[in-house]
Amino acid sequence: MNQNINLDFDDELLAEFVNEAREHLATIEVDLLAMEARGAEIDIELVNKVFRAAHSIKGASSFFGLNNVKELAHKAETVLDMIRSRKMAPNAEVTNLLLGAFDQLRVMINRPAESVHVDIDELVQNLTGLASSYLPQDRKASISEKITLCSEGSPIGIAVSRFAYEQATERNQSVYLVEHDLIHDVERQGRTIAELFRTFLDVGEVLECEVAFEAVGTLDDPIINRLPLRVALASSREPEALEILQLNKANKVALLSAPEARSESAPANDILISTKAQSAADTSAPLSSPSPEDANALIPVSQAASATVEDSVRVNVSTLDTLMNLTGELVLGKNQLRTSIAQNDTQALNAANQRINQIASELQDVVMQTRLQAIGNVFGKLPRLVRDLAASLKKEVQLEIHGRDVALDRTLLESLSDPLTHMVRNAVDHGIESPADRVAAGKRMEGRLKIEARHEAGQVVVEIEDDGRGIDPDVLGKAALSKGLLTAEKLESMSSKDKMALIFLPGFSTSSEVSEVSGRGVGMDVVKTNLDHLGGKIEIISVAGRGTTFRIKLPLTLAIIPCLIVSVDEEQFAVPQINVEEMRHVVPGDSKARVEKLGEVEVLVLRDRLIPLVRLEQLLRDSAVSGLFSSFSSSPESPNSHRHANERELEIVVVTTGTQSYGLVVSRFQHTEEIVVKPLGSHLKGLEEYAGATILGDGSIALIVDIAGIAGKANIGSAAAMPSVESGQDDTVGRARSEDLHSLVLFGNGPGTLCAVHSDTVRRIERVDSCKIEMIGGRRTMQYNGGLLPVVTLADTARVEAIPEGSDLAVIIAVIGGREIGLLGTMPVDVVEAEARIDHSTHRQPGVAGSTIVREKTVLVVDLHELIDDAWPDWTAKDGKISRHSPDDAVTVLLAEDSDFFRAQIKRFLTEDGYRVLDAQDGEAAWELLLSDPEEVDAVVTDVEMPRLDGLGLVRRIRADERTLKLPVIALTSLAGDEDVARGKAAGVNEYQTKLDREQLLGCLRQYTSRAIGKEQELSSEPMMA
Amino acid sequence: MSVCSARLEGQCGVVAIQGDFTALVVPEIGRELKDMVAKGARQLVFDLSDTYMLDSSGIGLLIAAANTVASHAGSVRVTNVSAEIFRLLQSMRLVNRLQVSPAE
Repeated sequence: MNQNINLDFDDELLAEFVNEAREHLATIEVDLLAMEARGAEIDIELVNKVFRAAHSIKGASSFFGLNNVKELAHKAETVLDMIRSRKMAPNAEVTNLLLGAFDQLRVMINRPAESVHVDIDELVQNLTGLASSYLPQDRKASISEKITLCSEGSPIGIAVSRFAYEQATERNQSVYLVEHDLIHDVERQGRTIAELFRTFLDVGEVLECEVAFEAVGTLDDPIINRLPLRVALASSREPEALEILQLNKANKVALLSAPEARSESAPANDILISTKAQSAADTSAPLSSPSPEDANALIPVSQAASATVEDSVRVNVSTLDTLMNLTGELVLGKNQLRTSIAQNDTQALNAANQRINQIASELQDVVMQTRLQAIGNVFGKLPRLVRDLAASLKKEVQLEIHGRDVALDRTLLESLSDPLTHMVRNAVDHGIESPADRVAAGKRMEGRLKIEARHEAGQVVVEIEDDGRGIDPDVLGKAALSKGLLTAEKLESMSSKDKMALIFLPGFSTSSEVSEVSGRGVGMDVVKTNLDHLGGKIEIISVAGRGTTFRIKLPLTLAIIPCLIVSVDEEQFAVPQINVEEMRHVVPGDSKARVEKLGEVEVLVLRDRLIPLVRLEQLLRDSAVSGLFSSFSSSPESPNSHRHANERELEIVVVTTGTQSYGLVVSRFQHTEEIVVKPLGSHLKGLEEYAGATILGDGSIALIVDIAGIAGKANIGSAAAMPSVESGQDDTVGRARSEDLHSLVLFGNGPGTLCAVHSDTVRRIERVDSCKIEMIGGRRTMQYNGGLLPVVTLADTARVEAIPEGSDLAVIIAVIGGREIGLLGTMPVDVVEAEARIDHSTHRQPGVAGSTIVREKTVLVVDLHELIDDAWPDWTAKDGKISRHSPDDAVTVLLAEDSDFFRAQIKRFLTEDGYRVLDAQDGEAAWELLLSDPEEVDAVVTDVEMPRLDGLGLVRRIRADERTLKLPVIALTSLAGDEDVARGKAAGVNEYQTKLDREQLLGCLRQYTSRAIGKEQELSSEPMMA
Repeated sequence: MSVCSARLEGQCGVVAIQGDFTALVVPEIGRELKDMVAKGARQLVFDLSDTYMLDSSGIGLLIAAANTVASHAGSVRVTNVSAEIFRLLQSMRLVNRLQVSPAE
């Protein structure tokens, strides 16, 4: 009987579901009664909580195939949804019914295997009746009203309640007509009718069911061998996913109606839209948009919500024994201590002290162990979940799990389970596309879902990363707008990041297919609420078409962590050691570490790095400091910042948030200490600068600084949400993103003109007095480091206004062709990392590579090479390093690069240098170009990370084909770690270069192509010699 | 062993099925029913007290019986149905048309 119920799961998994569901149900009674007590004054948070309980139970029971539980939870959810949207008040009748439903759910959950035999029909009917009785008058009529839906292939329609049909459309479900002969298609195929109905419930809801009495015949017929059944089935599944209902070729599954989005995308021959529906025009009319009450129902949940977290921990008996032993030892120690004090025996006192110390630290270890559990326990259920989900959605998903051993406090772990499950479901259901869509998008047929846990900067980071369709913030914005959640003006002013955050609003869903797996727009708000309770954070990093990463950061609120104790004036602060990269005592004149000022911003120049500085003292004293690092908001100059720079010794802790490093200026380094993290009181909880507090060994109190919080407060790295692109990290999405992440030094060129240069070439930025700039012999120079620094301005080459006299000047010192050059600009100067698209046509002119938008302002991107070429034509030639090709020996370079900006840049300077360039947007296109005429290409320059076929893949193909085997290949990348270089070499790359050093690339190319040409000439001369 | 006991009380024919009501026993029960209709039965009552399984042939027979007596303005009732069979007939929306009532 139970073969359709997935009770053959690990008992553990089922037990977990039962425990979780019990936990959800534990406070339902109280909550429902509280809802009743409030009557029409609905406490949205409370209703949301009960709603989410029903929703979670529905989701999990559907996974286990507990259809009765699912059905009942679904009906309860519908009623709660109406309460939430204020269509119904939770009066006594409603509350009684809901209480009854949850009681029944509890009974079924306690005995899951027997739940299929429980009669829930009365409850289901009552709940449905309740939901319908609260409908507006015009909708009430739709319950009794029937409409006939027909499929093209079948002349006989099926009459369904208009109400049921509209509900299905409202849920974005398609309605299918399923026709079976129960005798031939079901029983003779070895299945039972009950099984068939369970399959229906697995994939959707039965709206109507008709048995064709007339086809059966009478007792006078010799034999009864037909029992046709026609079912109108509402389902969120794609037509292909309903193949399980195609029991043999004779029976039919036809689509009667589909949500608009679906019917557009589905192939025409799969759709048999109702053509004879009596009220087809009415029923397919778009449904009304949500009423204002709906919008009210979507108020973000407040912090005050009371999440129920299990308050018991499972402890191994042997651990308990150890604890008992240690307690015994402690008692002995206490006795020893008491005796030695009584006898005033110093030696015995020391011994007792030592003993108690030892016991205390052992106790600490063991108690911590009882609380810490590997996150693998939560990950354990994911492979099965993903597998079954993928199978039911007809998708192929490869699941990778990393970091199973990361240990987390038991309480955190348990509370993480729900959000994680939701997000994994979302990723498989909504994120990863169907195999056909993936292939069409040039991706591998098999979707990739990576789940990783790791310790990072004092937090546990859990990432759920898929390479699916990604989330488009604009789509989210539009959806929110259409739901009336915000105004068009508000939307206009929202950043992409803000738009992404809309996904966390309760009831918000953009999926055109709301499925039973991932629900009806709850889910992400459950995730957010649960994580809020844990003090965690969630970030979404998504690139449309490439994938989405959900990054959960959980604090180690319950752990003991090693910290560096620093002091600022008289106050002590603890910096989690995991955040500390380096401690630096900076003295004036230190060439490896010095503090420079870029406009209003102080930076630490540490070896080759430019690190923003935050003065902890100033930040904590003056919360208005947040404008400090946004130089564009002409923040008033702080008198302190001048006084400090380059003036005296500084103690700087270089810290990292995991994605961004900065220097924290403190008064004094103290010592390191293992601290016990105490949560901040509720009145201090809103302070993002602090992660908690602790009591130090000497009894004083220290606040634990939150490195990420301080970075946020000081406005460091607006692009910090982007993952750091570290070498050796196997993160294709991350790498792909980095292509469009530009690190720019922003500066002014007179009022109103903002300019930028790529920071790669910039070595230093200095503020200069205009009198230091000399114009001798038509050439501009300044004295610098005991020598002369050639200086150019943008106006020398480009048609822009010259820098007005009396401007506050800065010189951006860059290295081009191995020599230093100064670019004159005006203050303020700022360094930003921006995910920007560089338009290389609109503002393109000599000296200007293109333009982009940073912080909503147009910025000209300066091409330093062109400025130099114009002002110092012999700059590179003089060095002997670079000389241009003559047009006669035009060499053809095949360039594969997916970033439009880089492709245009490289193509331009290669062309300028006399090369003929064939360019391609990815490896696949490059390979096609190459194969079209392998003889023509002399060298290949390729990016590494590209869609369809990446650079290394291209190289492997080149090396595998004898026509192209010997082509020199130069790989360009923004990530050139040792491992990357090794991988590149292994694939057959001749040179691995970091983007984008023109001279280096030209030099290298010249070296290889001259070889190639030499070889060609050699080869062509051979026959002559023979 | 007989698969059913049938008795005719006036125009009411009562058939108590013993054991499963499946394709195996349908022909025999069908003959009994036909017999009773021939003898003037217009109301047919199926007593399923001892029945735990009902398959599509069984349902087919119930419908055929309903179709037969319907032409004589009669009707069918199915009584003492187990919870499981009741739910099956309920999902098939047959409870009203076949006047199904569950076991006490």
